[in-house]
Amino acid sequence: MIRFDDVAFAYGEGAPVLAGATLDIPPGLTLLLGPNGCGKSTLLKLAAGVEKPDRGRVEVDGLDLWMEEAKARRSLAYVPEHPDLTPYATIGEIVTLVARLRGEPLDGVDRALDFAGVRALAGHSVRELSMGQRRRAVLACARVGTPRHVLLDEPLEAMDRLAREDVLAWIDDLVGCESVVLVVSHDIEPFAARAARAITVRAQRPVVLDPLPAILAERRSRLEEMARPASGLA
Amino acid sequence: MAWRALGTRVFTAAWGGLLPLGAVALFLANNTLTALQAGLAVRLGGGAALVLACANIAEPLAARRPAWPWSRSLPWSAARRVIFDACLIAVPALALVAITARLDSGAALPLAAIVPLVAFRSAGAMRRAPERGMGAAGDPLSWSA
Repeated sequence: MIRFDDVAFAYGEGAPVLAGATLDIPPGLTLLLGPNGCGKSTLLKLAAGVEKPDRGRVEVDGLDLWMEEAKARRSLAYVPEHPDLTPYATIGEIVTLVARLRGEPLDGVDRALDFAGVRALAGHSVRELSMGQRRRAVLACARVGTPRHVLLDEPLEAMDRLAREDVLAWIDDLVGCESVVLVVSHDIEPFAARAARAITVRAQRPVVLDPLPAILAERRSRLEEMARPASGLA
Repeated sequence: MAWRALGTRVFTAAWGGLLPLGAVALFLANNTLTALQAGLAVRLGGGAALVLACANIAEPLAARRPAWPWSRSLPWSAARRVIFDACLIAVPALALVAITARLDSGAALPLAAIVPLVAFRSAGAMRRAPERGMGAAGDPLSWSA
């Protein structure tokens, strides 16, 4: 369970992105939906402990992310949209670091690299890699051990069909193991059937959208509506 | 990773601290000073050397191994990350304390005592470097001044 308790956050002196956000994210797949800039990725960063709330608490299984930093993050895996890995390390070193910090055996490193399809690149420094390869490296880090809270920002972006299927199968496994999976994606179709709930951010507060099928139906009808004038012109 | 980012720069950056110590050595060789005056001169030169070395290491480290926000999601504390960086900065700085001790052992003791403080200050400054006009070196230099 990930819990936001009266969380407020702004980037520097800018306008608040979240104010008084209170939310429980239980096990299962939760989709984070909404237009660009509404605060989806910020909510994910706060849940991952990458950004620190200006006010309030973020808890992972009852552990405060900022009071019990290492312990609370032990079960977390975060895959950002734009991976910002340190440039002078190799992929192998980064995945090994993650395994050490999570207290996982190092033989899981190769499995994680295999899953992400970057085992052949293990000795390459991050500077040598494309953005897609960096994303795969971060995905490999997320696969180390058995994280129970997985936070994915646009996990299917820049992925080929096979890789997308692997990621979706992994999400199915996680959901089957009662893990908390929080996904930000503009591409909701692959996740809609798997999602237990959806959340958006409106007026600086998270809003649970319930039920999910209604959102999907609305999106589909909107797509059909958009397609209609085009077919009319044809 | 920090070591790979810096390489031998960690030593060349620390050599910058030799300049004040060299100046102090020349000052001692060319002037007739009491023990107290000599001790104060060595303490001043050693302090300048220490701050210069720490600032010189922090600056390229902040530039070559920029802030890595994703790593904050890993199970290690911010304090642990700062301690790692402070140790990397402190080790070459201790070499300068040893050189200072060759000039005046009494002056080296208070200098050794402030090594952790300057190293932590420099490691902390690296995290704030992107938001500052002065970079990572500016903080320890302005603070010590």
